[in-house]
Amino acid sequence: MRPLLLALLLCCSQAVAADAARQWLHGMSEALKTLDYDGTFVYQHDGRLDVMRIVHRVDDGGRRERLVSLTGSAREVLRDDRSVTCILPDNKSVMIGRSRSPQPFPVVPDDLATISRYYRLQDKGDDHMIGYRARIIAVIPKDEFRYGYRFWIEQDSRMLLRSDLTGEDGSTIEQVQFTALDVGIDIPVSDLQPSLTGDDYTWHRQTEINAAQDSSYGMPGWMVRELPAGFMLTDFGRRRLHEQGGDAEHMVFSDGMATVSVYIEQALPDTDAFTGLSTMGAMNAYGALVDGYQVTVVGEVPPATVKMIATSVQRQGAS
Amino acid sequence: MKDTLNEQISALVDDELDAAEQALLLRQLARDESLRRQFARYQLVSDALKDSLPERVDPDFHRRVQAALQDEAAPHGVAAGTHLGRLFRPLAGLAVAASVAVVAVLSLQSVRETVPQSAPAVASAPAPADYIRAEGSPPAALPATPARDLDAYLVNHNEVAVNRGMRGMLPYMRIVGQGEQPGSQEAAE
Repeated sequence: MRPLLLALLLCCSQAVAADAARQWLHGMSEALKTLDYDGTFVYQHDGRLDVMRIVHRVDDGGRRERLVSLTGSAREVLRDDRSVTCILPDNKSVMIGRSRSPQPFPVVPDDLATISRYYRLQDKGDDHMIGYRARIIAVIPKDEFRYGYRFWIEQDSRMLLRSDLTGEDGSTIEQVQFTALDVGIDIPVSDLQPSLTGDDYTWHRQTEINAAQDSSYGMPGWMVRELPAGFMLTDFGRRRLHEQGGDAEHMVFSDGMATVSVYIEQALPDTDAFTGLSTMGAMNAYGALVDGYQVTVVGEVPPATVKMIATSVQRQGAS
Repeated sequence: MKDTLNEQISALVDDELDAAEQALLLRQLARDESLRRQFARYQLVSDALKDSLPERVDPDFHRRVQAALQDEAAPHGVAAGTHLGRLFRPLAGLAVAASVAVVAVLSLQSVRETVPQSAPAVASAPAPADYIRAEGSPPAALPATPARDLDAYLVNHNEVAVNRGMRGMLPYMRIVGQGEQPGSQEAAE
């Protein structure tokens, strides 16, 4: 009887701790979206180190944010409720996409049981960073198909102070660490203006094809045969990503923490196909050609995951 | 003081600072633009030595940097890998890093010219973004490469990830930080 009681108590205390960890994550997610802040952070990846500045302001007009590199080639991303603009001086191009409307469900899944099947949530205790008190929350994957996370969350505002993304062996793949951060201050509108005009740049606009233009909207013509456990189709649509190309089918899969996009579009005869793996920090992409179609899988997941998905895409109905 | 700072930046690029030193230097870096430029120059040198420069940089660049390094190392009489070499590594490394930074700047500005033997002060060198642009054919004339095409997917995917994820706009750091490094490519299987 006593061992059973102990096991039950242990089980309960773990569940309570995991729920507390989830509350911290939820608080952090809300803080990043709702607070005004201006911070400088260091982004470490692939043996490199970039210094960036992020400015975020929320007012009656909605959210506005700006991310700019302080050490690299002055790339800049501006985002508001309607659009996202990426200014890429090294390519002399400006890329404009549409902001997504907020999801109807919470960012951190309320259903802890679902996420607990694939990750362990742990409260790792207190720490101090850049003059703030932080709580460390770890999200540990249970298999090799997803990355782990460690967040340092400021104890009053719940702002993110540091974020580590870890591989299957626990090593850090990417690290974001604020070196200066002001929260709850007045953000001048001028700080949200781009520093480059993009006047002599090439502009690219990504468009979303809506149902009225396309009778087959809502019906994927393709399917993914092999998915790591827990990844579910959460979104489907058609997008035009390149002016010269046709529409791409876009499927989104998520396990509640990580998100993977699958794009399928007709391969262009005069353009090199993208095949194999490409890595940008913790973001992996895998390209494959299937029946004359370019398949591109992108996500903040290990190489094995994007590869598994990309190499198992097939037309609906194909055997 | 200045030399110490340069030495620390060099060590930061090589990931040789302890956590406290790193935190202090990163705070200074966040405040001081000239330090960030210095850091970016060392980063470029480090990339060159690791043979991980972006595709658009002159393919011969790495070989010429190594040749310049050998020329630079010889007069100091510090052989790499010896006990003496290891002891003197920070200082010797700094001298080499500084001179190679100049070589990097000049060789990228005039790709087809020979590497100069005597170089002007590092302080007069422009930021990497400038010399990346000055190099070779203009970006618009380049054929589409997979790495470049991936920008469109990354921008689109980020909107999904940002919306579903917990870290606000931070995932866009991969686009912002990717400017001079189009990502590693593996051959198709």
